[in-house]
Amino acid sequence: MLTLDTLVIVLLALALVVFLGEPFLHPTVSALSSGEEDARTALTLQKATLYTAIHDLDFDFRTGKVDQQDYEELRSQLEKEAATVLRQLDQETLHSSSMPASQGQCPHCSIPLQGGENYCPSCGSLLLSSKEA
Amino acid sequence: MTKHHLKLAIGICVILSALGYLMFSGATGSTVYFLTVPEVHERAATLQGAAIRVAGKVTEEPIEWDVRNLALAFVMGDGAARIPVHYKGVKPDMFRPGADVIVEGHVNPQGVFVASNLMTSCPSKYEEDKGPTL
Amino acid sequence: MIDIGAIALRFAFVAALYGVFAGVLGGCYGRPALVRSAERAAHAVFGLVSIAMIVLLYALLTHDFRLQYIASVSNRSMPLFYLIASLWGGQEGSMMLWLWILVGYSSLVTLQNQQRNRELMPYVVATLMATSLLFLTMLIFAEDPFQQLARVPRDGQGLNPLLQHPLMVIHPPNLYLGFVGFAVPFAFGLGALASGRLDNQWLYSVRRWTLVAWLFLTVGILLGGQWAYVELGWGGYWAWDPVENASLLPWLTGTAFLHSVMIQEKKGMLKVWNMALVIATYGLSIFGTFLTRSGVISSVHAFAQSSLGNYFLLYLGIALAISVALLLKRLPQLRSDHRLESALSRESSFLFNNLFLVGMTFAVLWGTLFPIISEAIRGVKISVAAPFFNQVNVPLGLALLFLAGVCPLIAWRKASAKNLQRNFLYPFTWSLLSTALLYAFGIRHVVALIALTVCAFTFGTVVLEFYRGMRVRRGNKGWGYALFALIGRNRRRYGGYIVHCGVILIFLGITGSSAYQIEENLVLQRGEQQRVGHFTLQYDDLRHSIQATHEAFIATIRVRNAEKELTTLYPEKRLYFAQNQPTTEVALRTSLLEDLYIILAGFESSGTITLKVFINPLVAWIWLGGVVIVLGTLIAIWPERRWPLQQRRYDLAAPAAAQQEA
Repeated sequence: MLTLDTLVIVLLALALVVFLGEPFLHPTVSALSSGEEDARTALTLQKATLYTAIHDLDFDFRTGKVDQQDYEELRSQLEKEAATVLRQLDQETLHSSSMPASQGQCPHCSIPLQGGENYCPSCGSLLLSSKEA
Repeated sequence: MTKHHLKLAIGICVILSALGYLMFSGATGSTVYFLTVPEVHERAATLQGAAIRVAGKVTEEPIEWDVRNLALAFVMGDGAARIPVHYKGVKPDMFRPGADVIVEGHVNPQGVFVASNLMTSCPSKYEEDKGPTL
Repeated sequence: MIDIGAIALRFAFVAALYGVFAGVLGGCYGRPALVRSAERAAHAVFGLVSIAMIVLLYALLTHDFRLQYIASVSNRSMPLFYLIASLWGGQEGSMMLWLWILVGYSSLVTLQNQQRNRELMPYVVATLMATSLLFLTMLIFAEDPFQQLARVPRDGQGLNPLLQHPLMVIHPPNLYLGFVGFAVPFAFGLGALASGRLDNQWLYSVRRWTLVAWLFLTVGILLGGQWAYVELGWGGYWAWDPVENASLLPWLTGTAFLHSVMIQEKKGMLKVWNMALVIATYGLSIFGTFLTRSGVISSVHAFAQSSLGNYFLLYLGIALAISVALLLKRLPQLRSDHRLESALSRESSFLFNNLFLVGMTFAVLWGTLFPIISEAIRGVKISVAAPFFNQVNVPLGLALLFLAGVCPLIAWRKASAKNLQRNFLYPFTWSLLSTALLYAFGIRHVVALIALTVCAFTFGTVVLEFYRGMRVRRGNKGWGYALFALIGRNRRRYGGYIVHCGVILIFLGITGSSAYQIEENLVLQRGEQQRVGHFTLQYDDLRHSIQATHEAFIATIRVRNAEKELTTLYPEKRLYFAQNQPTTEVALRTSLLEDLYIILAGFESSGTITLKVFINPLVAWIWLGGVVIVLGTLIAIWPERRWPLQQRRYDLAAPAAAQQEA
């Protein structure tokens, strides 16, 4: 018997299946980030934190909360840490721009790859470079 | 363990012991046995006027309410066990025969519960009979 | 029509279950399509639960008494405002609200992170869907809001008149927005643990969520206290009742978490501690919900006794087991970047702050659960009363307030004598001066004096911070500009200081109303007057009035101070017909200095009445403090003009460049 309720159940079920299944139909390119992007975001985050810390420290010095000696000591320490992070960031950028990230074949769908991609253009899964694999 | 680890550990221990002391001294002042009416009768000998908390229902027996002196006298029960209660204070809104009550106080030598505190529980919206369901 | 609601809930259950598995599997095996599908499931669950909510609301508004829930919680004579509010007036409906807020948050979080946190999101979604499953399970199998009655009544029972009060209407939603909000930081924490992305990314992502959740929980707790004060009529606002404690517990650990994340962000310390705190806050939220609804501890707030307890406990056990297992697995990667160098430093004051808060949590939890523990161990229930909680929490609370004054000024790593003197001389002097002044004015109550001293000290440090900052920011412009510029540039810090000011106000309010409360019983004949404190109360008349929903006995009390007529108050006793329930309507005169609080305790046919009168000093400051806390939190949450972590141009070799920064 096709009551209103049965119709609603069927429609809802269909809608749900379509809605949840749709991502499987297109390979997405904006997939999970690669290992290198991780490192870069983490370092960028660290850099921003250190910059904020330096900014706050400068302000604290100007307001008189921190005296000259402590200020110079703390600032040089922060500067050193920031310099390290910047250096690491430079290395990362250098590293990723010259390296082909992938092997000859996609491990999931086995299509041949040109190299230099982070994601398979066919199935969209992430590709780890031979170094990180 | 390095020196400053030791200092930190000592500091934390001090704080924890202070907390423990506070809790212990606070507890000894204000812990009370939580009993039912039958249990009060059972333990009457051992309790000897100690501070207790009792849960039960207000029975159908006559309730005396002296408005001027804010003195309430009623009988509290649980099944067959009964105990008379005297309470000085405002009569709670939900107080009526059949209501669940919790009293704090002690049993005096005459066997009457002298309550320093009287609480009726907020009636659940579902205590009434829900009726037969599909 | 009703069945659509029930169907929607069951589909939501299926979708949530799918979401859990899709999220976990998609995250573990790196399948982006599966992850996207899981995120869609989060949206689908929100849509489906919304459908169920709409159906329930519609049934409520059309007085559809086929539904057992609607019949028990509403009736035809309720005004629209309370009719809508009765949606969460009972067990099933309030759980629906909890669930709806949870899945609403889940959907929002998923939307916000479509392009971000891709490594964490599979597990974030899975965790949030798992939490939804708990409530969906209970709503489908235990407390079904769509349960129908065999015999449809003509009219419903209606909402308990005690709950028909504006404060009581917004108190539960606020609490839920708070409790549920803490699920999001927890989900991100688990996501970080599960995915191995253990840097501070997850902390930054949840910073605003945590603040928002904390804000709602704070407001919810204060509203509950205010409702108890004006409605329940026992003269106070907090009774250390188990259900009250249940809401306080996650607030305490949530506050600790809010503070300790700053240490992890700045110094990379306390990583394990922060994980533990966020897990504890989530666990305590669920546990608090369990305490309130299962009836396992007797309380004046009791909902129906039910078997819900088992669902909660089972879920809690599983959730804690998984969380701890993940935490232990990642323990080696959660090492601190820096060490604690001195007991007298900003790091250590944050650590002490956390210790005190967690200590309070433990004490309150212990006191609340003691009846169950003692019954399990000794076979007899021993309960713990208010004095225990006050004895433990007052010293700890004051110590915390003191820390709030110390922490912003004390140096990082190790405070030198010079640093201490430079920053604390003024506040200390000011606080000692104010103590002497207060003593001279007649304040002799020891605890009150200590509390007031600490309040003065912490307030002094906040003033000092603002003054110093404004002096720098002023340049050539005015102080008003300086204030705006100061707060605008560093909203988190100065918003936080404002929140601390709100806390100081609350402490002052609690101190005044606890230490200097006056309580008296008056018996008055018609026309008689008596003095209470510095007020003269004259009893004019007792009226009997019959309204649509209730009948009332209303006393007319004229209030005078010396010879000046202040106001007229009308304490009442009401009887609501539908529920056959008497209530007491408190008559309240509020001023900044004190509250005059009058209860009509009883009356005789001769017209003689008995009044219970309280004079509660400084209570209004508690609510005022709440407003200030809201203001401060909003400032801290408000996004800065520039994304705060955006790159700023810095010449690292030239500190003097800072001087040019206007």
